[in-house]
Amino acid sequence: MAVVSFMRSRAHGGASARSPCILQNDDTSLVSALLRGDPAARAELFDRYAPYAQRVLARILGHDAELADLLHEVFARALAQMDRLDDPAALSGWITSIAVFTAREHIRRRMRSRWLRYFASEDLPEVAVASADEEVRESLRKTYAVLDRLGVDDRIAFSLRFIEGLDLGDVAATCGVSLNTIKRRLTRAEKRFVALARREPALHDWLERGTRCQGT
Amino acid sequence: MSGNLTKLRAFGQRVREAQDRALLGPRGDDAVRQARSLWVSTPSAPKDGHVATDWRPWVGAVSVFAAAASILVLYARPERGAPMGFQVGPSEVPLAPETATGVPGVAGQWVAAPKTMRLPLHFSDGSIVRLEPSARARVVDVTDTGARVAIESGTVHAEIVHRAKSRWLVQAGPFEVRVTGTQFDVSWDPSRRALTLALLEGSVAVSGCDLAHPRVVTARETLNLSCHDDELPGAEDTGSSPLRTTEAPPTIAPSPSRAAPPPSGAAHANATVVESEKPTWREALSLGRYAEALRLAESAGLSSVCASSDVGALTDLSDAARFAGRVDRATFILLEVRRRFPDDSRAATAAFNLGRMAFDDNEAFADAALWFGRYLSELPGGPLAREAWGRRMEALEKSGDHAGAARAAKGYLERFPTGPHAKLARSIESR
Repeated sequence: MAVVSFMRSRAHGGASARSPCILQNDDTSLVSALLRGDPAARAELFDRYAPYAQRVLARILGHDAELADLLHEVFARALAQMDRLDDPAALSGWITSIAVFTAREHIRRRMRSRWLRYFASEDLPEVAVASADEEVRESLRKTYAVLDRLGVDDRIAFSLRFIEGLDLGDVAATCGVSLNTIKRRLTRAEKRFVALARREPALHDWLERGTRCQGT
Repeated sequence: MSGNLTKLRAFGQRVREAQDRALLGPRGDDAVRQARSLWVSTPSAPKDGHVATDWRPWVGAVSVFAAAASILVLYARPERGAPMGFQVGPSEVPLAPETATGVPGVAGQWVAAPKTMRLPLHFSDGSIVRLEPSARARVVDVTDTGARVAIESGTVHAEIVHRAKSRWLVQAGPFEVRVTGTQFDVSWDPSRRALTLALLEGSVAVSGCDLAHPRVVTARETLNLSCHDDELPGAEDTGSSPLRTTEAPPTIAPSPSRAAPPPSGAAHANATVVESEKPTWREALSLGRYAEALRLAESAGLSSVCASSDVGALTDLSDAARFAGRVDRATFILLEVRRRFPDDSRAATAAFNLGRMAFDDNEAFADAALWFGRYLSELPGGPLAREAWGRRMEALEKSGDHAGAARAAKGYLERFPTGPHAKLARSIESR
């Protein structure tokens, strides 16, 4: 499954305290242990996949004060629905999809709230990009401010495609939609994002420098 | 478009690299550590795991009321197996800077949503019962297949996860709503003894009062019932209800707000069910269909909607307009909020929103500065004060009022020396 390969391709470069080389048998036995209610397996599930799930959430949401909650929610959902996982070898991709779903729900919940939108300053990436300079911080903030103005499905497609760098097939598989649907979403998202980003001085440099870098 | 694609790939790479640097930084794994701490402290059985909710700030969202009630209940008959857990709050809207966590729910305790915030109850099976502002309810009990929840008053939005053995019961006053897996809004007005049930998905069966048979309500139907019978069924669940009984005979009266005839097979001739060909703007909004919500409101007459809706509904509708990209409509609605509800704190928030739109969407910086200033004068200690101070300073600067921006910068730094606009404020002040 394409999504699984994406997850595993990141396994060695993530920020996890654990950096296991995930073998298929590991996931199979892990799922079996989880279904038996093995407490150790529960912790293992989290330690193994939390960094991946965190990154997926961060790609879609940017810095979010609720990231820890959302991360927990991803695993709570996964555990509660573990008996629906037909193929244990697809565990990592399945968790990715749950992370995407969780992010989507979070965005929708936030958009429904008449207040949360105005707490954008609370969501500035001040903590998450503590190592970045002010310019980067501002560019990230503006990037996600622009993404906030996209439809949620378009935003997710855009984030997975361009920020996470997945190929089209992986994006479609992760979102659980057809390739054509993803293409339509991306077309909309690209057009809208570029139009909005061009109005943000903080993003001009990244867009233009990005072009030069690409050519080198 | 290929040029854009090239740009966007490189752009995305920059975002990715910046994020990865942050995630690898000294506090990059804070979220993982926090989540893990919660993860290992929750029950180990898969079905018992609490779905995490908000740890963020919330203000006095939970109240326990020993008093009385008229009720909405989500119920599951006890069966074998460990009961689900649930967590109360925190409220979805932070109003205070302190971090707070949701609290484990306790069956039988009353909870109340604050006036301006929603209060979610998260069940470990993924179901959510969200109390809208000012609503009061309690989870009477929980089992491994569902729960029974009672509502004293107000509106509750429920998203019940469908499972093979789901057994939930909602009780509102004399009415009971049996649920399997569905989404719906239910309101109970104890003063009018009126129930409104709007099905968004699935189906439910409503019984109680003088209904001879359970009434099945399906998606996109709205059921309005009122009952003058105060002999509440299931009295053991509502023993603390403050409702007094009357001597009026049990009747079901049609809701004055709906006029459609009851469907065939209706349990009671006076009950009113409205089958909607399309959802109301409120339903569309709750589903995140902002453009549709606005369109439906416009179909109903935006001026009329604005004249007849309460401040909360209007605020929601203005959000729908903004999310739909209709700044003109959002502006109109927010001005109506300020005109009709000048003493409500949400009028100040409307001023802030008007400022945001003037700034972000119209680049009318002088107007934006005025609106942010209006917010600060009306709600100087409000939750958006820091943002308003910063935005006002920024707007003044962009409008060319450099002297005003310098004064605003000074004021900002005095109040929020480490705030997100502090750097800009210092640069303006030091000019």
